Amino acid sequence: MPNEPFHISRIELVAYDRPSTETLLPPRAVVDVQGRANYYLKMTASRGGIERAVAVEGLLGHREGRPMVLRYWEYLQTVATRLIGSRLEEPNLQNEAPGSEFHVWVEPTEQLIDNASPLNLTEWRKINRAVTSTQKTLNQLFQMLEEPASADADGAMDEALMENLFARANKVLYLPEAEPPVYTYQPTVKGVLQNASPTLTPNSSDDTTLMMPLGTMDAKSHLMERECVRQGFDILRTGKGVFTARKGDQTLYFKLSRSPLVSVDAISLCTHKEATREFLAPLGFPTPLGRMFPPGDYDNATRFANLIGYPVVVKPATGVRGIGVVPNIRSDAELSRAFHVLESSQLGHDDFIVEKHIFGEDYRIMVIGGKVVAATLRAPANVVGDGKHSVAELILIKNRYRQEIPHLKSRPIKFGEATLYQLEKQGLSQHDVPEAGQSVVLSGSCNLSQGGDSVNILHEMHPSIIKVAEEAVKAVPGLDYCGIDFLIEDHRKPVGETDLGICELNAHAAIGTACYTMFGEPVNVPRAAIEEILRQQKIPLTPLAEDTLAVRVEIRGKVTKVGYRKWLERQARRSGLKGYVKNVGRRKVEAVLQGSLVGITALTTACIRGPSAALPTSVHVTHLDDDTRYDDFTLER
Amino acid sequence: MNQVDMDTRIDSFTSLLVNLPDITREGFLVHAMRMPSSAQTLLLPRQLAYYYTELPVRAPTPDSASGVACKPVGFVCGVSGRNLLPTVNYCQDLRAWRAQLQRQNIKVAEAASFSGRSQRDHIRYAQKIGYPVVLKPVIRNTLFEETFKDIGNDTELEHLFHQSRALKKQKASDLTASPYAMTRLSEDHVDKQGNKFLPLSIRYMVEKQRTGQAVRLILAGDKVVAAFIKSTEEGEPWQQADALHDSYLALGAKIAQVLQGMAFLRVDLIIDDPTEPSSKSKDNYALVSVSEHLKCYKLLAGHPEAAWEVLTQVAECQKPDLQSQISREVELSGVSDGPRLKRELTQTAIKLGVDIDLKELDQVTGRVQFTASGPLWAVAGLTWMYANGLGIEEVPTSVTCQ
Repeated sequence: MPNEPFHISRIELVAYDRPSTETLLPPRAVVDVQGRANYYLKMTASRGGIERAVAVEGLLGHREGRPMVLRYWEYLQTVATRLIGSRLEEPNLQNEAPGSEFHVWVEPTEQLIDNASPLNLTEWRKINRAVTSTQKTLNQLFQMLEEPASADADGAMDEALMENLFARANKVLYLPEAEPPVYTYQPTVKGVLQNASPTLTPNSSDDTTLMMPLGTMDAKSHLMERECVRQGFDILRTGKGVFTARKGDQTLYFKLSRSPLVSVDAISLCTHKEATREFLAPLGFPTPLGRMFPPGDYDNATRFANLIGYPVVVKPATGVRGIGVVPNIRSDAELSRAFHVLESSQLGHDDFIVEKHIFGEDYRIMVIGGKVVAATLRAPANVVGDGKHSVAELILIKNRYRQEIPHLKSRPIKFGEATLYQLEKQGLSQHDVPEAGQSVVLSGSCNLSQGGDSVNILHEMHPSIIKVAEEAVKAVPGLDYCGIDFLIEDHRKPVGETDLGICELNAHAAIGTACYTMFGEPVNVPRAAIEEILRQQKIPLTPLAEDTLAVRVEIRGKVTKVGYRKWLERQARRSGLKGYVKNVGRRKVEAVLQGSLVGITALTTACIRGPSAALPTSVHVTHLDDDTRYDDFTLER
Repeated sequence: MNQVDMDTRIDSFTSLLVNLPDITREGFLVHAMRMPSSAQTLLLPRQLAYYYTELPVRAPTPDSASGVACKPVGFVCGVSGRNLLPTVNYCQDLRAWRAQLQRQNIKVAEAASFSGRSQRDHIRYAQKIGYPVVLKPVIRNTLFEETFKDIGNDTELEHLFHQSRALKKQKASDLTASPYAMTRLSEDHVDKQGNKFLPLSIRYMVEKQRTGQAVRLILAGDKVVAAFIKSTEEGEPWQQADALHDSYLALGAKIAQVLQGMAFLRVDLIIDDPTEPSSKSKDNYALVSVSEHLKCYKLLAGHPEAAWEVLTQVAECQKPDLQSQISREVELSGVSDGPRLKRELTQTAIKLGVDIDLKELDQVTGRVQFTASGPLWAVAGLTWMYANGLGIEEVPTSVTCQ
């Protein structure tokens, strides 16, 4: 048997959210000499029909307090992909001089080299260190495979380890790849299960890579900027979420997703849930029966809950992101607990609302210029069993797919007390393996930032619901861009045959929700918004070709001697852009970018941040008229 | 701040206006103008006011073809809904509007901003530009401007910088909270003694304090509709700026052209000599403030004609006869304590000389209905005070008048 080859059948690779000295495995399974780790690698291999799993922790692409540098993660993924399905013939593992297979597996990738020139010794030293470290990790793994089975080596299955691993997971790779997560809409109306809609598979977007330079909070502003650039506007950005678009003597102002489609009174109304209800309810729009109470007025609130009847919802009057919201309260005792939850939240000192709970799924319907352009169902965080993976693994797998979607990339499913509570309610733990097709709900909130799914369903939404949404938004003056939140039992049924209610109006709704959904056909909401602005302001629509754009970018502020040009060059190359970057004086950098609309605008939005030592004060983007074409991206000195 | 002196009889529009807190006066002026000619008025928290010219039609049923026929005209804190949100947000952000206007060669006051992380830098900067300096938050509150002037030395600046950063926790629904600013949920900064401060990322601006003449331009669209002047000394009243050089009117129009989306705008300048052209020298004037809040109430006593003329444009209607008698059906919602409401309503009505006929009071549903009759200014005052919780404890969520 010792002469038989290993056959590598399964690999689990997890990058941590930050390096840690509190390693999960025993010291002998930690490859770094200082006992630090920022990734976990588990390999399952069989020899002679006997399967063994061994795991190690290593350190690669180290950044203090931050996740692994991306190119190192990409390199590790490539190594793992090379390993899977391989057979290792009699490796020489005795004297740390492994066989030739190792060279094939750990050979540096193009991403790892990252355009390091042959003379850049510092970069090459880093690359060699990464290769050597990875080789050592593999060597350690195979040595452990050679040894008799022990609790240490096979401890990778330990439940406590799994929990810790989950808590620190930033990126994951499971090979062979698990089946992609799916979504099937099948509501229950008044206790009766309805017909299922066709099953949907997750989207992935080519924009994800191009939008890499953006920080987690810059996407809203970027999407608006992207569409303005497409329409030939020049951009002046003076803050992370703040920019103006200028063409001729027309200037448009933007702050995050706040655009000229919204007036100052409309935002004041929409950000106050009770004011919204007081506005819409008298006009006959379906709003849940409810009212607002001052902080601490729990006696009256309890009397009111009994008057309208349970179940009820408690929420802050001016809440955001679901903070302090307690749904489906069924008794005075539960209501009392809900007041406690509300009081201990960030908005606990504010006025609060008690209203009738409406059963149904949560929807965000985007209305632009009085027309519905997108309808997105927001399902609570969930996984669907495949009969092979545990709940924890299914979450990690789903999070991997969420990484492929720009809007969900920084909104993974999180595991915490609330998740455990939901699992307990279903009689499950994170270590259980759900049956194939079994849906496991992981959160009571539909919020995407809590790991919820976004599903575009406009094509099957009943026209009567669409009409109610359009009329409700049109009733509010100065509201030509709005995400209207509904609770609906079954969106395929007409109003009257299904329970529904308007929860709130969002005058600055997250613009990427429908644009980058997990399931269903994406809708370019920012494009619809910008085109509506231009129509309203009687500016002709002049869209430019999206793959051959050219702009000049001027960045002012503390941008020299801080590695700005190098940073910009690296980002431009990664996005496949051509052009150049150079210093102009002591406080200005100039660049010309040629390439795709998404690549260029993601980078120009990111320019207001730049590398960590930079402090840019403004970024000015102007369209280039000349036809000069660049073959490469160069850093001019 | 939301207390009104209810011990003395309020017998005129002027005495009511001076009794109201500053931050509610502009909204009240617009309300007094719009309410009489509106078929229905809806007053909501945050000084939100909607005026329907016709009674609103109920929403369509699934089978009906027509939608909501009548859209109201909206105001918040007396600011017209014709102002677009992102431009207003720009005007609230000192760094943003300064950068934008500087690029159009408009002179702005010499200034720099500092976060809570750069405690010492603001003193170094003040020393560089020279005292006296002005300290103000970079993101301006909607309703009041927290500005510290006449700061003469390092110690004073250090003290005020520290003091201004002390946490002033507001409910988002407080009268003083910015109704259209961004929602902040960032973590407070807690010092070693456990005192709470604004998050470190929040910036304050140190600005060179100029001497000269303060000039206030009020713009409607891209035209200057009123101009006032006063000495920069405290306590001086505004005077109409008849001798202001035309180039400053052109400057106002230029600012309006840059800040597109502002239907109405207040511009404050400090000018060396307002009778000389704006281009006379490199730093003969400096723009110190732009705001959507026109503050007509400050001009009303000294310059009523000019103030009402501006308000006519903002409210989009003529000034009514404030002494005329009117009667309105009023409905309050969100009332919790019925007896207290009844007691306070009676008391407030007597103070204002308004007759009240209470028709319904249900403290569980929170609905109260009554008829209010009396002089226009007093009925407008009563409804405005109830909508904004002025001088009362039992504050309703909404006030509807027909």
